[in-house]
Amino acid sequence: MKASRDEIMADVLGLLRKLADDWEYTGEITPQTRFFSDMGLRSLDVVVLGTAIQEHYNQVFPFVQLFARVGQRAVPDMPVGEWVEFIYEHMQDTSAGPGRAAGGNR
Amino acid sequence: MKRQTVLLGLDGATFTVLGPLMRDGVMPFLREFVSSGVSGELESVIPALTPPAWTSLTTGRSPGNHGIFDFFCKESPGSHHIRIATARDVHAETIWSVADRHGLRTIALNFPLMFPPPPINGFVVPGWMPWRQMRLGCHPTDLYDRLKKLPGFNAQELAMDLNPEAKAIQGCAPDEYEEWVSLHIRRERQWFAIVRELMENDPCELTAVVFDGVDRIQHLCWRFLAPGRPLGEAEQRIRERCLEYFRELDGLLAEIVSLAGPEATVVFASDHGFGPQTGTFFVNAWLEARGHLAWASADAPRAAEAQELGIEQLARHAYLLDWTKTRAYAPTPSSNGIHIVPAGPEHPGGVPASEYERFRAELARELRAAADPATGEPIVARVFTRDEVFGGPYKELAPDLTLELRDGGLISILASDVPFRSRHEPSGTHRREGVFMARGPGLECGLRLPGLSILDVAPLLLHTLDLEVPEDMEGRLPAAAFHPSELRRRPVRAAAASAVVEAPAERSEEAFTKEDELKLAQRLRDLGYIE
Repeated sequence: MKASRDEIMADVLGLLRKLADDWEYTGEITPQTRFFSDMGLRSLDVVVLGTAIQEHYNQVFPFVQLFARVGQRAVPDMPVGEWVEFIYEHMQDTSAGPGRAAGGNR
Repeated sequence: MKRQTVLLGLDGATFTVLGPLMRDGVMPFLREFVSSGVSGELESVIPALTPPAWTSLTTGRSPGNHGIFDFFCKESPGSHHIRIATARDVHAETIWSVADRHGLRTIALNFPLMFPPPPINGFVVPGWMPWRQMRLGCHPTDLYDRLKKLPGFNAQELAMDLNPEAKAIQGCAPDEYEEWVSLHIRRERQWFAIVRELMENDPCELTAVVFDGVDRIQHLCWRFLAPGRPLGEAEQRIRERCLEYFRELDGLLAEIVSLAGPEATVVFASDHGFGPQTGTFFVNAWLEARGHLAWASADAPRAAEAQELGIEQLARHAYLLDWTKTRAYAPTPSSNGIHIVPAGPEHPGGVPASEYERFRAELARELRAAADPATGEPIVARVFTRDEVFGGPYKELAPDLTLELRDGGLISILASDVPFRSRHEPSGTHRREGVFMARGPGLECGLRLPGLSILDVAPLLLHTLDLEVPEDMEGRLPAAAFHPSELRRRPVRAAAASAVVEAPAERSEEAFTKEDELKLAQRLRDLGYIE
């Protein structure tokens, strides 16, 4: 079963809020919060978050395409909502639970 | 716990530096260790780079068989998109997984390609994790909260990412050198604190930790460390700080070995060695000049100095290059690899399959003939095709050509007005000749061993844990390291191949099919993760 936009948003916001405690980031995290200019993340942070999301949904997402698109913007940044929309658009309809898609360090 | 083995990784360590430091009393523990154990140069893989090399050390497999060639990997064989490699891109079984299958526990700290962390019985803190996500990389999940309680814990300093790495490789302001070294002293103390916490309270049969300050400091401070180079007053001060790092590291290593106890086997190994880099080859600029590469615009990032390798431009080649005219390109400055673009809808200017062999051979010939315009000396010492060095099911993901430069240095991926620039001061860069030192029950005393390969370390570690060595490991146990009586008493035991490898498919990775799921389930079952 494919997760809904709302479910993905809840998962992503939950993940970011959990990690933000470690960063001592006190701002509110909403769908409009931007990764770089608001939360102060770097591109590698977002790559790692993408890997964590792939683990959670047991799927591989073509984040490289998203990052290439964002990288070409005059101000290379994106709000959390755009990331969630990308995940939703590329999510496969699968009943696989949390785990992992393929390959792996064993 | 019947047996214990400790692997102490010294990223980038070379006897060129460690030898004089041991001799001159900066590293007395290491000197005593070498004199009472087995040691020798450890030949790394091609490319001699942290991710493929540590992966080879911990799997006993070469890059073409484990699938890691760089910090980055291609999305698929024909794609020009690259992404950061993760643990999911390692397609060979690691020593901690083998240990886990046999009911042994592992502490694995600061190794690359360990995120997402493998679900082994034991503890994992991955290396190369950005500090903000370090919690996600720790295994088990409550480990990060335990680390936060350690005195002096500072995730921001403990972690390492590409930005400080760029500083290490591309240089920093003169007044930043000493602080750079001090940062690594603090980092090694933190890794030591984690090792001690786990060894004292949750000892495991296999403990493995990488101390990577050796690599970072040698990159930036090679000219202060290389033997026999006259130094000015300010340089001497930086050298003294470097020596302080090695003195401190020696003490930390001694404490870990003491914690392990006299019956433990202790193995020191590096992923690669080190040497000087005196110039920079701007490969993409050279390819452009030969008509093999075109930038999408005249604004492509351009190097002004020899030390600018283009680390900040990683992955941007996807839109910086004109794919209607580009036939070959270097996407990263780390692996010295050149990728040939296959012709297709995405790459109308690429090389048709029918012309691939001819084009690759001609490009290799041109590279061998490339010369420094100032001196006429060749820039490239050797050119390897992927068939020569990356045999295995993952060869198609590897660069088509890999360069070994005359000075052993790294390439730059930036545009440049000239294809080669000499450096005002040498920096440190990787060499294939790393270090190996081992001591423990059954091992020879004071023996110098020639001909060791990084692929031999995994079989040795498994043997010291009394485990069978999977037959698909390419390395072999260095029998000469052991007393003959030891191998008669406890001969090497071979086991069936454990790794299940699949050739990379030329397809979108978006689709995770039912077939993939069944294969994964079978693989996990084979490995004993699921019933």
